[in-house]
Amino acid sequence: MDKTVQNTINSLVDAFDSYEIPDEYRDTVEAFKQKLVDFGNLHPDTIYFFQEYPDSGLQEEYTDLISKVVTASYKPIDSEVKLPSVSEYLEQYRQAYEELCKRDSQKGRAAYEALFNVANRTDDLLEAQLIIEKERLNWKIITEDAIEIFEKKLSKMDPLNLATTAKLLGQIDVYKCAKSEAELDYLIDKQDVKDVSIIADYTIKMTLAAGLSYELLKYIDTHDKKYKKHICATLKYMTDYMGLKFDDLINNDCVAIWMLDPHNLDEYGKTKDAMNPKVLETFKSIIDTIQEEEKE
Amino acid sequence: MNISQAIELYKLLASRCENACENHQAKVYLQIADFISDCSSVEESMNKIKNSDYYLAPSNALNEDKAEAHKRAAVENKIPELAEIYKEKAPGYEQKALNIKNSYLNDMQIFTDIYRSYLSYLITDKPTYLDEISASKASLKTPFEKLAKNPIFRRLIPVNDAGYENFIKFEGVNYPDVENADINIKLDKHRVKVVAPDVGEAPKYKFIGG
Repeated sequence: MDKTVQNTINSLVDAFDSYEIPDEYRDTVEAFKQKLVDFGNLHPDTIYFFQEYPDSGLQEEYTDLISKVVTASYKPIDSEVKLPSVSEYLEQYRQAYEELCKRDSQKGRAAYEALFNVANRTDDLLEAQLIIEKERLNWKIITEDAIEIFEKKLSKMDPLNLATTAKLLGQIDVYKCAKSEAELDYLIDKQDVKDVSIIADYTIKMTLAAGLSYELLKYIDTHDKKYKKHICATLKYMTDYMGLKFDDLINNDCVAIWMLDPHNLDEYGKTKDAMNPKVLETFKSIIDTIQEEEKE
Repeated sequence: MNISQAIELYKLLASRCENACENHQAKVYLQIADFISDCSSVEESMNKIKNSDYYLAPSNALNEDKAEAHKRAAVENKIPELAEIYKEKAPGYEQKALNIKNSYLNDMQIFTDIYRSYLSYLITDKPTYLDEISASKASLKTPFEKLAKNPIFRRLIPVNDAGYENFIKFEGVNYPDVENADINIKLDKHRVKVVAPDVGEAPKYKFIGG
């Protein structure tokens, strides 16, 4: 087999040799090692190997087996427990705090500093852990920083363009509501589906607004009957199937902007270039005229 | 430090977990509180835990709680295939679950895009949108007809049942007859700058110039 394939298989096999394999897993590990070698022999070419490996199930099997071996082979050090001081206990958070300090994170830093400050409030380790738990200080170091990152990004964007901001708004809500890791996972999964729904509703109205605007402008420019037909058909579709009137589009800034051919002037679209909003009055006038004619 | 504080801590952890969808951890923490109740010192209790199955039990329970949370969301999101993955927890389930979830979300996005192309075709009558519809349907992981029956996908399309039926069975559109109208409008097309509101301000754009 190719050297790259051989090295890949060797690294996976050698990983097991870093641990003392418990008896109950010894046969399983040996059988898996053989499976890896057999796979390498069947796919000796590097490109072919890496094409087939992801679908082979071997990576999933490897991840599962190595984590079982690691967990089962762990033996606590057989010595008397020496309890750390409160300061020593809190040092486990120091590295993450220093990484966070490299970025402009105020809420995140404050959350960590509240945690470190527990050392000034008590020198009793259990008392410290009770304070941390009651005040949820180690949960806040996760959520405060995340919320701050999302809010900073949102402040640069156009909050009315839900196509780009719905996910961020959803994430902020989730991180503010979640009280635990499991609840965070649950809320994120639910929000992911909700976000698609919110974005769908918004982008469908966007399509409606932009499409109608295009037909209205073409009608104004050409007076061609076919554009008037399209406008009528669209208004009828909106009324009959969507329960919407033209006014529902132009009276909602989030949607009306899409009738004005907007183009972003900055990276996130906070500032745009668009047609004069008086165009909306012109559109309204045309629509009213068309609808009057329909009644006659 | 005394043993009653340690027991209080585990009971506090259990109570917090119970109120935050982490029932497996809640159970483990209560078991640990009980397990160390006969210890006379904190050091003794820590040694006892370290040399028992309870040492790794909280992290194992956390994984159980997370899988349970994902499973509950999958059921509520009407993705039974995903719920089953989290229930069985076969080797490599986490990656498989992520792939299924992403595929489902992607199908939701494509389903919306199909409707938008359909709507654009209704508005403009341009055949290019028919090509878009075909291409989008071909790129779905699950067939369009099956997705159309899923209530989560139904909710993506903001039309009544008749409109939804038309969309699913789309084969063309009939325009109503419209009489000629004599419209002569003077249009000012000068472009302007538009500034979006800040978060928390009223949801209105500010138009500058023009």
